[in-house]
Amino acid sequence: MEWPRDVAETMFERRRLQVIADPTVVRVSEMKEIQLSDGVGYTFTTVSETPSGLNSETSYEILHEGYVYALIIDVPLKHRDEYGSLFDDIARTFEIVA
Amino acid sequence: MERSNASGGSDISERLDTAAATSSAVSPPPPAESAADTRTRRGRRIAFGLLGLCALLVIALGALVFTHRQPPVKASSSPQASPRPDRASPPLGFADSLTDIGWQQYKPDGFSLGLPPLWIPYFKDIPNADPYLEWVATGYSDTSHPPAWLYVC
Repeated sequence: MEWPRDVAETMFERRRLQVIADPTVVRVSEMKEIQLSDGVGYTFTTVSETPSGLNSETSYEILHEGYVYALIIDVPLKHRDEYGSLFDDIARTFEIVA
Repeated sequence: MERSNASGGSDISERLDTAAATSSAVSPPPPAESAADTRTRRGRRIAFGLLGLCALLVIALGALVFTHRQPPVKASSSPQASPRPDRASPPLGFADSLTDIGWQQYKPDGFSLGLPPLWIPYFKDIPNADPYLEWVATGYSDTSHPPAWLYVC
């Protein structure tokens, strides 16, 4: 069953707002669309406090045949910019084969 | 005797004069003929020279007309429009050029994922997952890169 696009967008936006509610979270970026191998996905970046310092977590999420798949890449915030668009490129290789 | 010698001498002189006159009448004077030949040869040279110049002029005009009728040729040093990788739409899947730049494809159960060189895959199942969530995790760590982890949920 293929879910309507706005359903996925609403669901991932709700998840993003839940992340903001976490007290360890410092800030969350806006959500944006990204074209993945299996359809349109959604991505946002969360900065949170951890025992080892500020951490950046970039999430790529897609709703596919009733299941949610999330690809999350963690990196210390101070190294986040070194990766540039590499995280996006990794997400674009993600392919559901089940 | 003396008269006889005199008349004999006159006779010889006349013969010599006649012979001289006869011989000068048979062969034309060389100086006058050489000048005519020179004029003729000069005239021929001028005529041939003019003809050659005309031929060269015709060839040059023909080449000029031919060149102007040719389509303009692009200079070989002009930069060619080369296809540039489109960053907005990189290749999807893993069958394209990612393997050429050292990426590796990993295929755990249910999905495939490409990782850059030196990224070490790590997969594990996360228990008690939501029935509408398929939880799998993978990560990488590398001494040459800052510690980063990648999860597939």
